Amino acid sequence: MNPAEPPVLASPPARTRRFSPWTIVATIATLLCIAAALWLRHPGDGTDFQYYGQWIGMGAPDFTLTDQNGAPLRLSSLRGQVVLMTFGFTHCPNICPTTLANLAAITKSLPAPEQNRVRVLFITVDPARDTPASLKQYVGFYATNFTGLTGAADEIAKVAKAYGAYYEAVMQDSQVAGNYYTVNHSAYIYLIDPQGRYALLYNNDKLTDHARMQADIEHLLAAPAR
Amino acid sequence: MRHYCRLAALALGLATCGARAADSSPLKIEQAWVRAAPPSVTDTAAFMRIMNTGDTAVQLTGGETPIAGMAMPMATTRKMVNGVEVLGMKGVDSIEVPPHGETVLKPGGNHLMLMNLSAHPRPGDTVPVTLYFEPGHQKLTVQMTARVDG
Repeated sequence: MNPAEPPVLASPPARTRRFSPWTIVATIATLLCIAAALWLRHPGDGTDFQYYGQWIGMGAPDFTLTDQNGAPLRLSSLRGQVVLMTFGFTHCPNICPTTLANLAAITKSLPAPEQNRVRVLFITVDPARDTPASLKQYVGFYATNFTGLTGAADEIAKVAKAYGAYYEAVMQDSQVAGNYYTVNHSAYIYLIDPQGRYALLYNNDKLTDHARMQADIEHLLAAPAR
Repeated sequence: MRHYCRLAALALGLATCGARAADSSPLKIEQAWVRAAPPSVTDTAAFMRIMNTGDTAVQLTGGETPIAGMAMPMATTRKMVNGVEVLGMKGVDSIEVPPHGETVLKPGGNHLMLMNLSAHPRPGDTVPVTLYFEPGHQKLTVQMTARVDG
């Protein structure tokens, strides 16, 4: 045994350090807990703004579909604008007109500069019947600046899957003439922010509160690019 | 002459009966409107508040209007598929109006679907819609204004 060792133990190294490793670990853990609590209290982009929509905050899956004039439209080409996107079909007599009428009211009452930076995309889940021409008449009826999008059935399916949208064609009662079908579909509204993030998700019922929808849109348009 | 008098009295009586029947109808329709529709679509919908002051339930079974091939009561369906809310609609035989109660047909909910449109109502148009109710084969014609939103 080396006699030089006991004095080393007699002068504890802890005295020269101000904090033990455990104190540092505990402090970091506490700070993380506080940060997590703050983040949970303000889910979203890190600001204090309370979004009306459900915060998603992921990169928006990109796609290219055909617009109502027959021209290709790529989602990522709309950076710098707020994009409100929804799935539907033109033979839809109730849900889709309600959605589009609400979106028209929401966007039309925004101040003009903001209005010019908001795009509404209506993506058909019935590409078999919805041609660019019929989409043009349909979306144009609600607002002249709305965009209707169609494409090949598999292209539409891919976009719907990327956003978690669901649809299924349903044959109606045989008393209705011919092979008439409607399409059951999810009717959420997806908000893509100016930075190209799929920022917010709205249940269809939320559309009736126009003021709160507008508050989200105006907040995102005003936010500096990060 | 007496014969004619009796006929006239009978006719008057019947007419009065008819009016009284209509006046005493337990049904009242309010806030009725039709969704204005672009020319590309085949169907639209009528919405309204139906009040029933009677002691028995009444069923809205359908209707007719000069602008559509048929009018059908439709129920809005909601279901969850893998956590996603899916909306749809299905034709139903009737929509019930409870006794001393009301039923509201509104956007996003149950409605009277006007199918195979022969004319497309524009905002501000007036569209007559005759509603069919059971029991009693009641028919009620309502003038509905066409609007884009509720």
